[in-house]
Amino acid sequence: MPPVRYLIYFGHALLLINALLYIKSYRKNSVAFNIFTFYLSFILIIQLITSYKGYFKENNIYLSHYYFIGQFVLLSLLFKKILKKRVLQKVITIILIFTLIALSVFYIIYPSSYYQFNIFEILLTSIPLILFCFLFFIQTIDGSDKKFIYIISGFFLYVLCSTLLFSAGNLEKDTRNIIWWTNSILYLVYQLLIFVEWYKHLKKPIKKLPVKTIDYKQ
Amino acid sequence: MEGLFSKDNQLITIVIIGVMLLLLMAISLLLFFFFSRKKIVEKELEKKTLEISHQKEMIQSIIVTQEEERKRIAQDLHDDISSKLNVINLNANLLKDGELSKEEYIIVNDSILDATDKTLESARKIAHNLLPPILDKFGLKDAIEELADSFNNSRKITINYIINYKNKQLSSQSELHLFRIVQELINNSVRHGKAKNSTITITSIGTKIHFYYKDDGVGFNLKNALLKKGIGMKNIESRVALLRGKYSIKTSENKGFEININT
Repeated sequence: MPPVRYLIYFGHALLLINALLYIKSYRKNSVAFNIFTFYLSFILIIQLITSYKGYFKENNIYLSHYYFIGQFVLLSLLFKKILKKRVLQKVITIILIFTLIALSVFYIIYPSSYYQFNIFEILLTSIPLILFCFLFFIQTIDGSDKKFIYIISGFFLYVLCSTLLFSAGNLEKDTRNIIWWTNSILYLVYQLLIFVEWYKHLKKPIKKLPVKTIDYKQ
Repeated sequence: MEGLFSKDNQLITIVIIGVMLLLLMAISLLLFFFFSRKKIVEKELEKKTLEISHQKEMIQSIIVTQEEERKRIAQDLHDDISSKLNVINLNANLLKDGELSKEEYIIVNDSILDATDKTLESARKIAHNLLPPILDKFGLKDAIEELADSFNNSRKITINYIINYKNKQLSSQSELHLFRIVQELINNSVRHGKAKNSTITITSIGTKIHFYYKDDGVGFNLKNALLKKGIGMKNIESRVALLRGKYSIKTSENKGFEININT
């Protein structure tokens, strides 16, 4: 087993590469891809701050709240764009608003949970996203439109397993190593699939210029 | 501390097993999704290919029909008109060159007049066959009635008709299509079906037309016929498609033939 640290660094490096690639193709992308670019940049910033705080042994657990809520909001917006049925778009809006209200109420009642991993928050933000992923799969099952399939598949895999892993995040420090190890492997898979998506759908195809030959007859 | 540690260890084992199970589930779900997707896309492709080949067949049959029609017109022109014009030409030359007696002159003149009349009649018949003028002037109802009556007069087949159709309900193009369908059906009944009686029913319900045709001929085995449709049937099919209608056929050997067309 390679040490967790290297796996995490490798994941961060991939995230950095992906974010840069998506930013590079920002302008010519559709709105949905742009939202995803925002999401990647946001996650990258959170990761950088987390690493920075971790390096100076400061408490960085509270950043996880920004991570989960930001991920939830941005990806809900993404799903609102890529799910085509009007009803589903409305459902997403309702779930988004409801979850945000529920979380605000929770933090008003229990302000102390700000400095801990919050299982309630993790569940509340992850379960709707899993549901949206599923709806997306149903939508694309008979279509020829392959956009976002890799990203959503990767995210589905990652979020399904990591929700359980994060729920165990408040355990004693010595024993969480294996949890972080599994998590970072899954994270790597997720980032790889994001890269595959970029490679298949956003990378500029190399266009061959048609060569014209003109015959002069005398 | 030791107790807590082992408790934590147990928890972690449970979490890891849970994650493994979830992972397995997620992967199998994704695989299922991808394979179903592939299958569905394949099926759709197959459907499209079938549709295209069907359209190709239609186009082919249209071309064949066109060629046959040309051949028929050429034959009509050659047999009926050219030959008679030849007779007229010969006789006219006789009048010009020959020194004829008065009786001979009258005979030649009469034969020219006779041939001209026949030529005119043939030309009228050919034109009539190509596009019955009655259809243009009096509409579909009269055209079908005239068609049926002309067959009734020939005593090959007795056609009963109940036509409840207001003029100009269909466009003139559609009227022509329906007329051609009737022509084709009657021709089939006489030529292939050896039918003695047949019925034409046209009812208009609102803007929709319901067409029904039935004969007591020999019929055919629908399963065989569907495999290799004759040009006549394909012709009817493409005309029904042009009418934006649907049709259904009921027939079996020695049990007559029925067709329903709804627009």
